[in-house]
Amino acid sequence: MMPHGRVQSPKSEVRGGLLRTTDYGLRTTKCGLTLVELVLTVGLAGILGIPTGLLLSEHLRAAVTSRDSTVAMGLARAETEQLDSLNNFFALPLGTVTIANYQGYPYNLTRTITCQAGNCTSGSSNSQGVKRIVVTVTKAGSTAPLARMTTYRTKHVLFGL
Amino acid sequence: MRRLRRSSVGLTLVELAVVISVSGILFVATPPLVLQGVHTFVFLPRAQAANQVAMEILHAAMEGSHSTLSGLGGQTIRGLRFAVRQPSPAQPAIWLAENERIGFLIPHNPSITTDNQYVVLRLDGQQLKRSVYLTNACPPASLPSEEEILPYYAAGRIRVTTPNPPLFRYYNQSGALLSPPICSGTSAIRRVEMAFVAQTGGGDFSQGDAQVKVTSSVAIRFP
Repeated sequence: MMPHGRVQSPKSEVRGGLLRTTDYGLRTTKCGLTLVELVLTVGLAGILGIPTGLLLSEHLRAAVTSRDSTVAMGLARAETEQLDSLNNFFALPLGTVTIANYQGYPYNLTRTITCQAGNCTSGSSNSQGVKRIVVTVTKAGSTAPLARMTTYRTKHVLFGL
Repeated sequence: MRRLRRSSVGLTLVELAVVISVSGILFVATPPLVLQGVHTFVFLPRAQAANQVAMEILHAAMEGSHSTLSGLGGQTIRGLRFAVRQPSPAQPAIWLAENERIGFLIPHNPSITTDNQYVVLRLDGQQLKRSVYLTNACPPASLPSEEEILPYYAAGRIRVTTPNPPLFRYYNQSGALLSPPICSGTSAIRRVEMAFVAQTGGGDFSQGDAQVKVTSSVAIRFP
């Protein structure tokens, strides 16, 4: 019997008084992978495929994270600028507000307004106040912040005087 | 007979069943994985490009960017954040406000140009274009002779679309949405919101395409 994978020249041999001729052309039709070879092949393919898959997966995750950061930063800036454009210090109530699916995006926006200094509730022109506004954007279902922005609003503060 | 059985090379029934099972699993599982891998390989650079272009467009519109316009080549055209009204003669910071076009005034800055810049951003087809006008006649009489695509390297590669809402939305100092005051009443605009989708091809992942939808806004300091 010819070992698999080894090239031999055709030969004749005498067995049991009969002349048997090994026809390699016919035998090649029976050649194929044994179970062990097949398992080895699958194993090797797996060994090569798994790191490639992991690499691709990480790359894909990085691309998605990058997109999330871009979108979240835009949304955080949109909210910050929106608060900045309101011409009323008192239109920004103290406290924390969370807006789910901000502007239809699958992100949650949390706005926290605290009184950083002075009196933030008195309307008297003699009463100065500084509000600290923190805007945080997270992906829906996650608590890890994708973007965070901080700004300040003042009332009755004369800068540089 | 025994000799005959020895010479017959083949698989037992169990081996055959295992081979068929393994082959079946491979045939079923491999093509989708390979296809998904190919899509991902094609998708990734496109996703990065779409993301990059979206960021560049936002930055150019809000903050400004270098220009490739002849006469301004290499100089910076500032963005909406630097739009400021002019008291004499009275000119609003935003002098043209449409759904897909905005014109704003960048005052005289000796280090950049000798005249006021009347900058216009508009969506032309599926590209965002920027130009500089000589006057703030509203509506503009005609397009300037030259426009530049933002960003310049995105030409033909990344499409900019505005499914909903429109590219530009305008708000007053109370945060109320204004229906586009085309020419008059633009001095009430205290904030401009910008939303668009940057995409390659149809933006469909199954085709290896990518898309990113972004929204941002900028407060107009002195409308």
